[in-house]
Amino acid sequence: MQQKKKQDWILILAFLALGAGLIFGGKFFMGLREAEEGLKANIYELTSDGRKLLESFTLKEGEQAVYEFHGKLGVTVVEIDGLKARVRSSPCPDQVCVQFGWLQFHDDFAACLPNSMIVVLEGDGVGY
Amino acid sequence: MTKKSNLRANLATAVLISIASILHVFEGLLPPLPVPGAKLGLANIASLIGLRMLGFGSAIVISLTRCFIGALFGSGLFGPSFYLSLAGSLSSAIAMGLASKIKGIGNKNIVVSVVGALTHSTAQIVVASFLLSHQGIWWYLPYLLGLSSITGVFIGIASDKLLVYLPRAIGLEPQSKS
Repeated sequence: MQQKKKQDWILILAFLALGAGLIFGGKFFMGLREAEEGLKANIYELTSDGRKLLESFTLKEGEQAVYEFHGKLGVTVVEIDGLKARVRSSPCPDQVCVQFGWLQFHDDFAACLPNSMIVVLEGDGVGY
Repeated sequence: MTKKSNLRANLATAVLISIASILHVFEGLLPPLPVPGAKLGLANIASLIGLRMLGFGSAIVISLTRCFIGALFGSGLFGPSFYLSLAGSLSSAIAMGLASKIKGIGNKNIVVSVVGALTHSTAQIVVASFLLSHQGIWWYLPYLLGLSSITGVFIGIASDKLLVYLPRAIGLEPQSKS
C-alpha cells in the first residue's frame, strides 16, 4: 500500500513537471520569433474547400483600421492597430477568437470556427 | 471484473452519459484557460469511469453520445466545433482503452487519463489545422500538451476518488448490506 502511494506521487509529479516543461518550452520557442517588417493581416473566410482571402492589411506603425466580416452568425470586428491586429468582437458563443488577443508575429492567428473566419499575420518570410 | 447483468450495465452507461453531457456543457460555462480553446476535460471523467467499470465499448459509447448531446446544447450538430470535439473525445477514448492494457501502469487512472488528454489535444490540433487550413496552429501544440498533462493528472485523481464510491452508488458493485 505504502509502495503504491509512493508510485502514484512519483507519477503525479512527473506528469506535472512534464506539463510545466512543455508550457515553458512552448513559451520559450514562441518567444524566439522576431518581429518582422511588412507583415500583412490577412482575413480569410473558411469554406468547405479551404479558405478565401477577403481582405489584406499591411501593418504599418501608427495606422489603424477596422474590418467587419459578415458571416453566417453576424459581424466579426477585426481591429488593426499599428503593427498588431486582433478580433475585437464576435457574435459567436465561445469567444475563442477574441481570447487569442493581439497578434504580432508571423503566423499568429485568431480563428472563429462558428462564424467561419480566420485572421492570420503573414509575410514574405517562411514563419513556422 | 466479472460480467454484470445487462440491465445494470445499460443503466450505468446511461447514467455516465448524462454525467458526461452535463460536464461537457458545464465546462463551456467556465472561464477560459490561458490557451484559447483549451478545456479542463471534465467530461473525460465519465469516459474513464465507464472504461474502468464497464469496459472499452462503454467508454466509446459514452464519449460518442456526449459529443452529440453536447453539440445540441452548444453550437449545433455537424458544425466545425462538433467535429473538433468528436475527433478529440473519440481518439482519447480509444487511446485510454489501449493505455489501460499496458502492463504495470495500465491500472493507474492517472496514467490513462493523461494519455487520453494528450491524445485529445493532438487530435484536435490535427483536425483544426485542416478546418482552418493554417499550419501556424502547430505553435500551440506544446502549450496544449502541457496543459493536458496537468489537467490529465487532476482528472485522473478525481476518477480515482469517484471510482471508490460511484460504482456502488449506481448499483454496479454488490451492496454490502441488504
